[in-house]
Amino acid sequence: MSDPVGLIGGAHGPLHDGQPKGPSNQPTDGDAFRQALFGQLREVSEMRQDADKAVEDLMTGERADLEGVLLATQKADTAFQLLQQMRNRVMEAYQEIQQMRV
Amino acid sequence: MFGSLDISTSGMIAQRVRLTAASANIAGANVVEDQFGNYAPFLRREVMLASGDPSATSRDGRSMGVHVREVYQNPDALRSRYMPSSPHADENGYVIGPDISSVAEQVDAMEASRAYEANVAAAEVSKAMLAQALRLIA
Amino acid sequence: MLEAMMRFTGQRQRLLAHNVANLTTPGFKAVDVSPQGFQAMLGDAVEKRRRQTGGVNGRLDMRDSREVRVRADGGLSFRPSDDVGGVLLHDRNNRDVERLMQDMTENYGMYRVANDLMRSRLGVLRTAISQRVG
Repeated sequence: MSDPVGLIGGAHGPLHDGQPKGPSNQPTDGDAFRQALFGQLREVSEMRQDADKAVEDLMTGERADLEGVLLATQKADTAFQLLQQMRNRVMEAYQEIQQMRV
Repeated sequence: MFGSLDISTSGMIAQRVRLTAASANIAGANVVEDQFGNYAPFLRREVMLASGDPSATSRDGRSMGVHVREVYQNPDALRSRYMPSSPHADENGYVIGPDISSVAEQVDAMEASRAYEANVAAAEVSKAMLAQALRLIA
Repeated sequence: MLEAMMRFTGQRQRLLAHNVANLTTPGFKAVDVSPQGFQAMLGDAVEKRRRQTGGVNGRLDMRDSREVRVRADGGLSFRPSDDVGGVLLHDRNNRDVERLMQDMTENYGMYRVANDLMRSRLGVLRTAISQRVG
């Protein structure tokens, strides 16, 4: 099954390691996609946890570098929004496919 | 947080009373008679401040801030002044008149003015915090 | 936890404004609560939560300190101390305008940081909630 929206290995950014992968035609594509998606979810969740912990440490005085904490929160927020957009595109693609008259 | 604005306002009011008293003292430094010409030496106005604000509405509010306890007209701030042209002068030309030093009053006025500005700065910080809190909703 | 910091700094501003209002009150002694003490309180509660839940979620259980007491409604009660240093002046007031201004600025800075972080977090949440598909 080809990859119409270019989700697998298409986007570059903080969530990917920068290695573009071509569309694959293997029968286990669904699995690969699911693993990729869950991998992103886990990464984003970890980034959010790190950011929250950084905020806590800033408030309790454990760390004093405001810039580091702000950077961590911004990264986590951006990653989260990226994930959201990905989800939106997937849903759009799914609906588009659904509406296709067979 | 609204309480802190009340507190700073009470500070500003108190300092302005001090400024007014200093101005009054400078103006009355040589006054020995009232508007009818009777002998009535000007008594130096002294502002007594005390912490707390009895006019506040809440019990917490009443213990914070500052208020003017009284504006005391000091009857002992008098000394012998050489004013031979005054109708109240004795045979040597001396009158018991106000013992007010313009320089001292001006220094008081400067201190009150500086304290007033400090209260304004505190009020600005309180307002900024309020504005920031409101932006949480927007 | 950000709300706790905002609450603390907001209330401390009242205390600092009180000190500024009484800059020239004879016999007045400046009072303050220590922000380091509050940060230690927060630190203890955060440690406890990390041990219990291993993460950043869950309620923060703050223990009262000598100066700050947590009320049932989540608010904070202050018992400020008056050993803030400063030179005793002729009218028995130990005012120190510069120190007061610095304290106010730092307090406002802490408030801003907590407020801005909370605002960005709420913003992300709102975006997440409001995003519709299709």
